[in-house]
Amino acid sequence: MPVSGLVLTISSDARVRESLLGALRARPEVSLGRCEARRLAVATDTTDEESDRALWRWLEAQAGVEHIDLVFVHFDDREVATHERRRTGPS
Amino acid sequence: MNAVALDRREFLRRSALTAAGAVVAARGESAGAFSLPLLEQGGGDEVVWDKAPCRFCGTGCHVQVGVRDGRVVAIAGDPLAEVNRGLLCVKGYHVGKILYGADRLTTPLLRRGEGHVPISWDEAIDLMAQRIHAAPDRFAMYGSGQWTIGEGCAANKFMKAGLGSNHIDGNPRLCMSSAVTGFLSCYGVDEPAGCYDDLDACNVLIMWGNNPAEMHPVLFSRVIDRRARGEEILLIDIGTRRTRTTDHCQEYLEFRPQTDLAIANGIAHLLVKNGNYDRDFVAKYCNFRQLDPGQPANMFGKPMTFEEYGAALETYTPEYVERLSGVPAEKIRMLGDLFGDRSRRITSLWCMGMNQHTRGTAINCLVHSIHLLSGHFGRPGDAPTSLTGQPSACGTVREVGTLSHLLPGGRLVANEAHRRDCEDLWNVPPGRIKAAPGYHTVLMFEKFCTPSDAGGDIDTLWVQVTNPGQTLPNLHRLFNRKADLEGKFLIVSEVYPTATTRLADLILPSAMWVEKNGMYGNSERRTQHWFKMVEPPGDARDDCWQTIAVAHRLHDLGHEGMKGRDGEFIFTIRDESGAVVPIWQWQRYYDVNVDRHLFEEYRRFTRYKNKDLAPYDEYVRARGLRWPVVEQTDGTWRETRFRFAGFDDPYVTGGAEIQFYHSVTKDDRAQIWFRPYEDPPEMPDAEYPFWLDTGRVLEHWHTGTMTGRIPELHRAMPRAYVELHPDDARDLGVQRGDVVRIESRRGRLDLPVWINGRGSPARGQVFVPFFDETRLINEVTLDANDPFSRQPDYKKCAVRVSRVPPDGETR
Repeated sequence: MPVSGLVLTISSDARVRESLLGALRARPEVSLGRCEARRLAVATDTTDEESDRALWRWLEAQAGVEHIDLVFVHFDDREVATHERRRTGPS
Repeated sequence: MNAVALDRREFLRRSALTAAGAVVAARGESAGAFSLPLLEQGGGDEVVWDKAPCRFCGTGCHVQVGVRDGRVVAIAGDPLAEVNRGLLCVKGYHVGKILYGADRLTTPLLRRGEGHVPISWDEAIDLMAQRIHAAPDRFAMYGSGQWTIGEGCAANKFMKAGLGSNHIDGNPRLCMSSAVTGFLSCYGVDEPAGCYDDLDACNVLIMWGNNPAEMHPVLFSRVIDRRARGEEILLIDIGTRRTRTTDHCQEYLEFRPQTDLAIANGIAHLLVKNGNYDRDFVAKYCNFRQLDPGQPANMFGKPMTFEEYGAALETYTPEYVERLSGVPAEKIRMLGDLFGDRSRRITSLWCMGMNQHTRGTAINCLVHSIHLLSGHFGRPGDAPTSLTGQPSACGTVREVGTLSHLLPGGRLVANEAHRRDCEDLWNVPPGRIKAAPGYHTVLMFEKFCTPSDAGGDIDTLWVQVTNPGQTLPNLHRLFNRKADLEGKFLIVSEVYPTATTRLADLILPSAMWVEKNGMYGNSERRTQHWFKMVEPPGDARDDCWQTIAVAHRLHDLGHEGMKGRDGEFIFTIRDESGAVVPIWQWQRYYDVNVDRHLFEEYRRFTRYKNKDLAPYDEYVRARGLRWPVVEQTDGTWRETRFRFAGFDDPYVTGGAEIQFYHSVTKDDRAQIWFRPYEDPPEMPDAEYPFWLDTGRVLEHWHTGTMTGRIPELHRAMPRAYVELHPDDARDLGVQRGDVVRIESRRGRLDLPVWINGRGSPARGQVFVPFFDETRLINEVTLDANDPFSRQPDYKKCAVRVSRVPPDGETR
C-alpha cells in the first residue's frame, strides 16, 4: 500500500495548468498540497505496487507535468528481494 | 478498514504532503528564508523521525528516517539539508530497505570444508586475536569510505598505534587516491577548495569523464533546476561515452581514452599562446612545476619557469590535440576561449573518469592547473571540484587517514614529526608508529594471494564494510587465487553474503547505517552525524565494537601494543564517575557513546592542516558542517565554504585575496603543473581490438549488495549488460539481447548486448557496469595503476568481443 510524496514541476501556461489541476483533483488517490512558483506538492496513496506504477505513468503522461521528483516514500509492505546468489567458488 | 488504520493512512498521506510541501518551499522563490521542523511526530501512527545522511554515495544527502515498532518504515528527503534541499535520488528514497534483505547475516560463521558453521562471538574474537597475536606483521586490515568516522578512527588506531603496523588500506585507493595526489601536488593539502555552492554560481559546468546525472543525480538536479528557472548555464561533457548527462549538455566532446591529458594541455597551450591567462593571479599566487626525470618517483617534482612551461606546451596545438584525442580543433579553441574569459564562472567536476586512470595524478594536476592558470579559482562558481563515490571517502579515509601511508589530519607515516605528533595525541609510546608505509590495496591483495613461502607475507586479512571480491581489478590474480592457498585466513565483517564472503574463512555479521551511531564526511568537506535508530538483526554488531573487542582480547593476551603510555588499554573510556566502561563487552558497548569519544579524540588531530572540526554536539544539531569549522568570539562555530579565499576562509591572513597556506613551496602559492600525454599501458591491438570501460548505473550503488536487495531497484536493473556501438554490433552480427563474450588477457565474461540503451559508447569501445555479483567484469579488468596514487585504471583496457551462439550451438 504505497504512500508517496511527490513534487511536480508544472507548466507555467495558465490554461494547461488549470486543466492539469482539474485532472489531478479528479483522482481520489491524489492529494494536492502547497504550490509555489511552478512546483506542486502531491501525495499519492495506492493499493499496491502495480497501481502505484500505473499512477506514476499517468502523471508522467499528463500535459503540463514537466518533471516529477519523488521526495517521500513509505514502504511498510515488508517486501524483500529474492537475491540470486553468486556462484559459490571462483571461476 | 478500521478507524485506527484509516487514521494511519491519513497520517501517512499528511506526512507525504508535508515532505513534498517542504521541498516546494525550499526550492521555490522563498528559498533561504524558511525553517521547518522534522516531519510530524506521532499522529496516531507512532512513527518517530530522525535525520541521517544517506548510506550510499559521496554526495551526502540527508534523509529523514521514519521508525515505527523498531523498524524503519519511511524515508523522506530532508528539506533542512543544504546538500539536497529535500530531494533524493531513486536510491536515496529506498535507502531504508537496505536493512531488510531476506539474507542478512546474523551470526558469526566459520569455514568448515566447503561451507560455514555458526560460532559464538566469543569464539570468533578469540580466534582472530590468537591469529593476529601469533604473527602481527603478517596481518592486514582493509576497509572503505563506508566506514563511519568512528570506525575508521578505531581501525587506524588499532593498526598504526596498537599493532605498530601500517598495513591498513581501503577501497578509496580504488576510487579517490588520484584526486588526493592531485590536490597534494597542487595545493599541498587534500580535498576541494570549493563546495556544492559552486554549482549554484557557475555559468559553465565542465564534466570531465563524469556522469553526475546518474552517479550524483541530486547534485546534477541543482544545475538543471537553475536552467529550468531560466538561468543560462553552459554544460560541457568531455567524455569517452554518451551518457544521460550528455543529453543535458550543449557540448559533447568525445575523446579517445587517455587523451584527456592532451585536451587539458591543449587548453593551457592556448591560454599561454593567446596571452589570455590570468597574469595577475599567476604572478601573485602560482608557481610552475614538472616531474624531475632524475627522481621520477618524487610526486612533487621540480620547479620550472613560465618560459619553460610555455615551451613544454608548444606541441599541444589544437590540431595536434585533435589528432591524439579525436576532439575537433575548433572545440579545443572553444575551451581555450572559455577559460580565457574571466567574466565566466567555470566549475569542473570529475570523479572516477579522471581518478581511475594510470595517469590519474597527472590529469588531476592538469585540470587544477588550467583553473589556476586562467584564474578560474577562488570565486563562487570558479572551482575545480572532485566528487566522491563513497559516503565517507573524504571523512573517514582521507581525513582520518586510513590509507597505508597516512596518519590522521593530513599527516604521513613517513614523516618523523608527524609520527611523534600522533603518538602524543594517541598517548602511545614514542616509536610505536612505523615509518614505512604499509601495503597499498593492489600490493596488499597481491601479497595475500601469493603463497606464504613465496613472498606472500600477508596471511591474515580482515575486511570491513567493503567488497573487494567484486571491486578489485584483475580478480583472478588479486582475489580468486586465495581459494587455492593454504594458510591464508580471510575475515570479512559484512551485512549480506557477497563475492568476498564466498572465500571468507570467518564471517562476522555487522550492524549497518542507522543500526548504529555514525558520522560521515562527504565530497564538499561536510561532516555529518546520526544516531542509532533501530537494533541490528540477530547477533549482528557494530564494526567499531568488533575492532575494539579484538584489540582488548589482544590486550588480555599480553600484546604490549594494546597499552598506551599510561599502561591502560588504548581504547579506555571512562564514565562520568571516572570508572572504566568495558566497551569491549557488547552488552556494555552502548553504556557510553563510543562514537563521541573517538570523535573528540580525533578532533584534536584536525588542526594541523587546518581541517578543524567542531565539538561532537555541533554535528548533532546540524545537517553537517564544512571544515574548517572555527569557533567564533560569541562561542558559535562557523563552517567554511571556500578555502584559500580571503572573503570566506578564516585561515587566510593579512587581508590576502587568495592564500595557499599549505603550499608545497612554502610561499603561499599553488603549483601549475606540466604533465605530458603518454599512451596507456594497454591499448587495443589486432588480438584485443576493443576498449573496455566499466562503471556504475543509476539504480545501483557500488557492488549492488545493498541496492540489489531493494526490490524496486533490482527489478529496474536486475543484471549487468554490455553496451555496444551499433556499427560494432552490426559487424559482430549481434542484436539487443544476444550474448557476447568479453575477453581480455586476464579473464572473460559473457553478457547480453544493449545497443543505444542507457549509454552509447564510441565505436571500438564497450561499457560494462560492475554492480552485478553474478557477472564480475573485474575478472577482465587491468590492475595497472598510477605510480603515485596507486589507483588502478578501470576505465580502459583491451578486450575482444565475440558472439556467443545461442542454445548450446558450437562456437
